[in-house]
Amino acid sequence: MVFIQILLDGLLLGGVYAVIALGFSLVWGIMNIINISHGAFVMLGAYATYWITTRSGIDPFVALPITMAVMFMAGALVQRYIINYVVRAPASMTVTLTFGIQLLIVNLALGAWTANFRSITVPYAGARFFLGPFLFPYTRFFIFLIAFLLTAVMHLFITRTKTGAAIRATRMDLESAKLNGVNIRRIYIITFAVGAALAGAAGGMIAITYPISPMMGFSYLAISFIISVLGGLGSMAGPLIGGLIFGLIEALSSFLIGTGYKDIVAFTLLVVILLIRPSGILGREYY
Amino acid sequence: MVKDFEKKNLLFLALICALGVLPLGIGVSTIRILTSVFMYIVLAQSWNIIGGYTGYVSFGNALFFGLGAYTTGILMLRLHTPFVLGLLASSAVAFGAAFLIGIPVLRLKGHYLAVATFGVAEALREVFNNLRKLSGGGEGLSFPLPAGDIRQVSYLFYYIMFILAILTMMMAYYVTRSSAGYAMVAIREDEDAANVMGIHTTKYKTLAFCLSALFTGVAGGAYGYWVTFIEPNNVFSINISVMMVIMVLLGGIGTLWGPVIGAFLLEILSDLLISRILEYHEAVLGFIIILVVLAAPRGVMEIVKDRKKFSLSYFLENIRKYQA
Repeated sequence: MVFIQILLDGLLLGGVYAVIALGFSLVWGIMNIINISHGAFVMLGAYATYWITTRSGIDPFVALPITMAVMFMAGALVQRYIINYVVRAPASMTVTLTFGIQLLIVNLALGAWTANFRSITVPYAGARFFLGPFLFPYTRFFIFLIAFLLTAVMHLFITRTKTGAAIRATRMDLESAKLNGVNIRRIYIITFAVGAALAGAAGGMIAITYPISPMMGFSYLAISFIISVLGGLGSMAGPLIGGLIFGLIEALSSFLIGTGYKDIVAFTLLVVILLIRPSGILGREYY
Repeated sequence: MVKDFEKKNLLFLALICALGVLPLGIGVSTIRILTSVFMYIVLAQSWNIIGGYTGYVSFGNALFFGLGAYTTGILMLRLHTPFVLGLLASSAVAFGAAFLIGIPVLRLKGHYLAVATFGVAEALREVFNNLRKLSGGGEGLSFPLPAGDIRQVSYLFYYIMFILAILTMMMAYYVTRSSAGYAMVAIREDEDAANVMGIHTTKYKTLAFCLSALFTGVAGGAYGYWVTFIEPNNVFSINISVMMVIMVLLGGIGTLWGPVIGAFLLEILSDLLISRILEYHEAVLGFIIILVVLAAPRGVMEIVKDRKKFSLSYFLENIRKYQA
């Protein structure tokens, strides 16, 4: 019983992981950029939700769309005025650049908000329901549903809209997309901004369930790496599958080996997948 | 041509002699800064061999630094071996680790390689965080204190790092002028073509990785004894891996003197920052990293080599090259 409850908790957490990796995998897959500052965006999203909720008193779930809008704008600005200049440079430059952005954001956040942990308290924080003998907190269950919703919306956006088609075309063949009138710069701005908005949503979800601090982002960056590689680039289902599986693996390894070892398991998993199947579970060439 | 070569050699010898007697006339704090400049020359030049000449961009080279630091530390503390023996062991451990990690991991390229090397470094960091009995775990490891007063100790580490820097420079110089060096550059330019030409690519890229690990490991061991206290989150930090990359980028990737210039400029700059604005020095460092990548993607060396390139039009051409 306890064992199954632990797996269920892992699965619920996996939903949040999926959203963390969703934006990261999109930017990596479409723009071929490993965004080291993704974890910092998750952190900014968490603080945006925290400040909106504590200052205005509205429900954190209602604050999520506002957080996403704010982070969309922030992402668009970062892409337009910083990353755009090296967007097609080799990995050594883009990784280093986004590392610099991450240092800047985290250090400024640390100066502005201190290293203290903060948390959002909602009146229904302790509310839960039972499904048979298993316990589900309402907040985590809602977050899990939102994760599926965001994945579905992203899938429809990429596959069914004109902008989505332009994004896919940019990924498939840059020159042909240009010849067909796609504004590459605009597509990159939209892609990166959507990635940042998803990071913001993930940050908001984390802020509802866990205490937050400016240093929180780095571990979520590592999680983004693992899930993107595990699920595979090139689709929206990849991060979801990868996130859920990783949630299960993490819960299992904490339970069976001990929490101190869960990061060893996670990073070993990352390296092993890269070696035996770098395209991941669902990975494919194009979106 | 011959005269030019001799002039360069003389200049180089004069520089070494000057740096050799320099600590006798300067303060302890300046010696400390120069010591860390030399250390970063070792790290950046080592990274340059795999990342610059061979084109395999590793973001986990801190793992050799960490392994080196812990090898020397554990040997000195647990087995009471002399420091020099610890350094030798560090070089062997780093070299061996690079061999074992390199053979599977160097099959990956580009972004996947970057993520994989990062993953290996982070996994090792966590392993050392958990090996309480051996490494002291997350509480860290204290080295025995080196004998002598502050000034003598600062001389000791100045000369150790200085010699390591010279050795690393010599290694880079001779390797890149050997057939192995040409094989590495060939792999960078076109690995398939190199393979077709009969170059054993796996052998040479693994060799490049091992050479890049060698002195990084020794520098790690020397660093541990120098600062007397190490912890996994510190010596396996991704910050160290990224510093190697950014220093090489700033100086000039795939050049002999680029890493030296990059290490010197960045270390002096960050030291000035730390002493002036401790609280926000990481933010300013981040800002400088952004500036370096955006404004000097080819590094300082290119301008040193060809003064004509010190112009606004070339600068604009350079920064427009990669934009969308």
